[in-house]
Amino acid sequence: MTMRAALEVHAKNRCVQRFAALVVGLALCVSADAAIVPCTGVSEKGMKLLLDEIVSSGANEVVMLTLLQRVDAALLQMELEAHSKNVGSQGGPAGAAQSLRVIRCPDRRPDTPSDFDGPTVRLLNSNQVMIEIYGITAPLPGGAGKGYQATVVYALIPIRHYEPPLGIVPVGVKIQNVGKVEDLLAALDQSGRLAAYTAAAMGLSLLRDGSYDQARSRLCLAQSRIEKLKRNNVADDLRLLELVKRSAEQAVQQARADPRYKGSLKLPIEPSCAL
Amino acid sequence: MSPPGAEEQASNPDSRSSDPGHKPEASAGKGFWDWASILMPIAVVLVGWQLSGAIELGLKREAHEVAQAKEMRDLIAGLLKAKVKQEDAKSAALTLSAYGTVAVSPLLTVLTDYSDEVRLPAAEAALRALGRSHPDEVCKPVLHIVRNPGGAVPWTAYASAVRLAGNIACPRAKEALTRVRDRLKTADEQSLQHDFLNSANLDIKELQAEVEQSLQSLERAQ
Repeated sequence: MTMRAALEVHAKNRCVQRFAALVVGLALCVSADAAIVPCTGVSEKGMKLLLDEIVSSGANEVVMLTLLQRVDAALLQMELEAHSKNVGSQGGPAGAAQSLRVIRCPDRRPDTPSDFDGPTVRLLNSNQVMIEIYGITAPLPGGAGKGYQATVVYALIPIRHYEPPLGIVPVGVKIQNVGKVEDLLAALDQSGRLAAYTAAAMGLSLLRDGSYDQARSRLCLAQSRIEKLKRNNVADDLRLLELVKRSAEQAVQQARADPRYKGSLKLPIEPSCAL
Repeated sequence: MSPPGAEEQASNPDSRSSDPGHKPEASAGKGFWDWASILMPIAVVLVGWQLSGAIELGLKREAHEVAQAKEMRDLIAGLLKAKVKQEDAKSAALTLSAYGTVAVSPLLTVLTDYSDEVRLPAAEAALRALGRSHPDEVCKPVLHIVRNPGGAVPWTAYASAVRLAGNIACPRAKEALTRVRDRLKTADEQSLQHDFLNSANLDIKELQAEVEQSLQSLERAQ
């Protein structure tokens, strides 16, 4: 080996070492700062979606803005589907009465599902938070190559509150370079997963509120969406699907038992989400 | 009957010293002033010692209170930071509760005025812990909130006071909570909304559930 080749190998090794140190440093930095901090806007009126900081990669603003657009698009699509079903009869179309606001929570980085303990979830639920999205990144384990494993976590607040074992759905995605906006968005844009979970959370919340028609339309929408997600093989989806089906049936039963309710769910036909 | 010359001796003590054959008795002849002159310095020393001890204790107590107030101030300042972390808020609030009854007021202020998803659970847990050791001091302000909904107290903080009344098993909480339950059942939504002007997302069903749970806790405690 010539001197020049040896120097090149040495330089390459140093470069790899520096990169490894950077990766470890970033990972440590992310985990050290991970915490739930108060989010202004939580107590504002109406149903809302909280979007926490996903990763500190130096491109936060761009990432968040682009992600917000994706979220808005997903929600709009969901609203349109709810309208097209046209099942709402309590004060107008299903989607119109209950819209969802997106609230950004800067510096808020939950670390583990245990951050969403009973008292925290209760307060979020009391403030009509439907879903909170956060992300955790970690270097890929040894032997898996360079890059990160990103886990996007959907905390479905009403479900977590009323059905405590459920409600936190982590979805793991491997990405090669978390610094790239496109890769991060690929991890976050879970082919309609957000819309499915949001519909499920809103459906359950509306059911508890006694808004049976709206609840049922959301729960039926969630059911069809989650059935499509089953291919992605997230174990929590199956349990969530069971809960959504059960709740959709409860919406009909409770509507029929409620003397104040005068809507279409009282009609003596077998209710089905397919209708 | 006194011996002859005794009266003379008593009235004229100098006559003893003029008698060369007279031996003075050690104590029998000491009067009040003699004793006083002997005991006075001892009493002064004792009183002085007591006083200096009390003053020293007072100064120490004052210094301790100042140090305590400073420590509490730091904890409260940490709790009121806009970006306080969940874990930090919990530990600050629980540490505050260890200061005893002086912590009731700041913790209640956090509960009612900073009732976000991080600080309210922390303050509630600390007040619950404090209520176990000092139920009267915690129950009094908590029941005041329960009896007087509205004002600047958001409904989430009100629900927290309802839970605390049940958890601590406050005396006379049952009648206050029963009154709240009846009002929640009979009052129309508009007047309840008026009670909680500061609350954007008042959930009457949820509040009813909290009241029922607290009443059940009180039943069990009895």
